[in-house]
Amino acid sequence: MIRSFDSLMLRTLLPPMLAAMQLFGVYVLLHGHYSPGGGFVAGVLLAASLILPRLIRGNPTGWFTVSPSRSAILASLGIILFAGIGAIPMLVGQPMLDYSVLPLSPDLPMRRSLGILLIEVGVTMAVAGAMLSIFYALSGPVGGEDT
Amino acid sequence: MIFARDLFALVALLSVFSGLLAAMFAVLGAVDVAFMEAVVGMSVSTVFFMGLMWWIEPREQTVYSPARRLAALLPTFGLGGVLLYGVNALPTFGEPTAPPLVNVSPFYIQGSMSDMATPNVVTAVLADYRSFDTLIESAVVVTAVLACLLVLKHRDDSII
Repeated sequence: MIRSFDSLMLRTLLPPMLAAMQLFGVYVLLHGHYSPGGGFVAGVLLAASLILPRLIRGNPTGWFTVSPSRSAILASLGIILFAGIGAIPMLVGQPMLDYSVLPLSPDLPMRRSLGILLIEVGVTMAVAGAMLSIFYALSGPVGGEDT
Repeated sequence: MIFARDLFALVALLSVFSGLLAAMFAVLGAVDVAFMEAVVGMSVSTVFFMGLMWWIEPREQTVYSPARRLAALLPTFGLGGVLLYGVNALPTFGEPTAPPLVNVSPFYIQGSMSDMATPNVVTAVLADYRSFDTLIESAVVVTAVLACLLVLKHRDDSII
């Protein structure tokens, strides 16, 4: 395991930075229809907000985190969510990934808009899980208390 | 041109290069790409490269003979020359009749608001008009990561 780089300054600045990063990540995901961003960037931001405490505090206990054994599962779940939502229209005879048949809203453009949001959530989970998996794989053997 | 033998310096330079690239994308109007480059290229991949230092020697040890250096230099500049020659054939920046602007782009730009109430055309193209691409792209990323995990899997530690 890579040793953490701990200092008073980083330790003090970590909580407000994490709050800002996670809030911004969720904002980028939900506001991707109107501003730059979307699932990929939101996934990377949320993964970075989980990597940062590990760089500073080592194996943090008491922080919200995704354990190394779960990160690959998170990535796979994101793909399954994406593909599953894409497969729903095929059940009623429409092309794959045609969100206009999803029963989300009475308004046709809004149905497609909400469909975009749902698959962006899947992309976010996939990218965040992938980034965390790479980080865990690169940071060496992890101690037994965390897996 | 930059020469550096220390890998830490190279990683830092790569991060700076990504930052400049992101600024260039933002200047050219591709804000989504600039955002992505800033988040992935500047921050996360730098952390990954730093994590990689744990596995390898942080300083390059091998010294190659001048003949091998020359043999590496020639294809590098040859490829660069070919690419620079290809730049001549690109349409002028901002030209309204450029091929990327006349085929399907007007359809996307005019339709994204009325079809799916999404003002950001990039999101509309990525997640609706061309969602198949995005689905397979995400699957490729996750598959690549799973393959990396299998390669880097530690004997005494189960990652998956």
